[in-house]
Amino acid sequence: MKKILLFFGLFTYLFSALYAQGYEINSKANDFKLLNVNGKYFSLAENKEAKGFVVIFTCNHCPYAQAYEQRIIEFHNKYAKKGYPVVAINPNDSVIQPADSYSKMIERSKDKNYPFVYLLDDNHKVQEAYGAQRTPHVFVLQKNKKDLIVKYIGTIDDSSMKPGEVKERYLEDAVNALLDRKEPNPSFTKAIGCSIKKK
Amino acid sequence: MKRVLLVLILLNLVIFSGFAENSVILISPDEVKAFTEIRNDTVYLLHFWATWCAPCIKEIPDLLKIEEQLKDKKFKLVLISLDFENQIQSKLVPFLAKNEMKPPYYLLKQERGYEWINKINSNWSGALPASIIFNRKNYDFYEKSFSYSELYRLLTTKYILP
Repeated sequence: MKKILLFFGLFTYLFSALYAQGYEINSKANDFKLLNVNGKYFSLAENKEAKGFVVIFTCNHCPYAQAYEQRIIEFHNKYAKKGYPVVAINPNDSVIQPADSYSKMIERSKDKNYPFVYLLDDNHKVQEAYGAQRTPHVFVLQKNKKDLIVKYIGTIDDSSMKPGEVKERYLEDAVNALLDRKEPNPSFTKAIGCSIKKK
Repeated sequence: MKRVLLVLILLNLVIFSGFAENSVILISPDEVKAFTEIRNDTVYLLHFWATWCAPCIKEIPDLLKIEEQLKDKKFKLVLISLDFENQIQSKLVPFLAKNEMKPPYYLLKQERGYEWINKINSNWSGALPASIIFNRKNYDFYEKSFSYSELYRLLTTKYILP
């Protein structure tokens, strides 16, 4: 009986380890090397001055991503100079969602004058490592010596479709807290968004 | 008692809203939660979708086909749209008509912030499509797209027993 229990315990452990994907608050985040819309590869390590990064999984086609586009641009313009630039990553497969192809990313970033990098993750390696589940999905990373520590996961504010009715700016509050050497509260939020398009 | 009342109101909506053709019923996260607490012999498939969600649109015909195939069983498909309230007439109603979908038509009334997502199910990240399948014995949450055969097999092997 004991043996069976042990076996089940081990099985559950292995099973959960297999499925435990993605980062939690205070996880150590991986750097990556992804193709930017300027034709060059980009890594977080390139930006030595930054105090951290606001990694946002987003895309062209999703109405929630579109609703937040201008707010993401404004966030970057305000916070890049404070040490927290936006790093936008499109995790979608362009065969399933042609509007999210690399050429359409270039088009959109030019049309809207993106002031931040917009990277392609079409084999989903970074999306899977981070555990991004939808677009837009935000991960705030803080530099700690050589490490990147996840300090906030979630959404940008409390009113996705009505920018005029925002009351709580979760992302700004989180980064302000980090700039003040405090822990973000809340550090984890949710929002409705589009599923990641994978084969 | 309050909860019982809520469930009764909701059941009435389910039964009588069929007469209100083309009318979209706004349903709150609390009402959805109360609905998922119903425990009887019927298997409910509560499905969250939207016309702006490409994988959802792809899945709708399969869901309707399964509903038709299981019409003699104790099975009920309840579709809850997360379309935007200002696109009911421009997007949602034309889609319902084009696909000859039967009422009641539910639209989720989203609340400010994110706690309401946890209220419906704490495992829900917020991505669409998502489903809750429940009956007297089971309650399961799925944040994924189903293929026709996958969903049919799941329903008829785990939930609806012969």
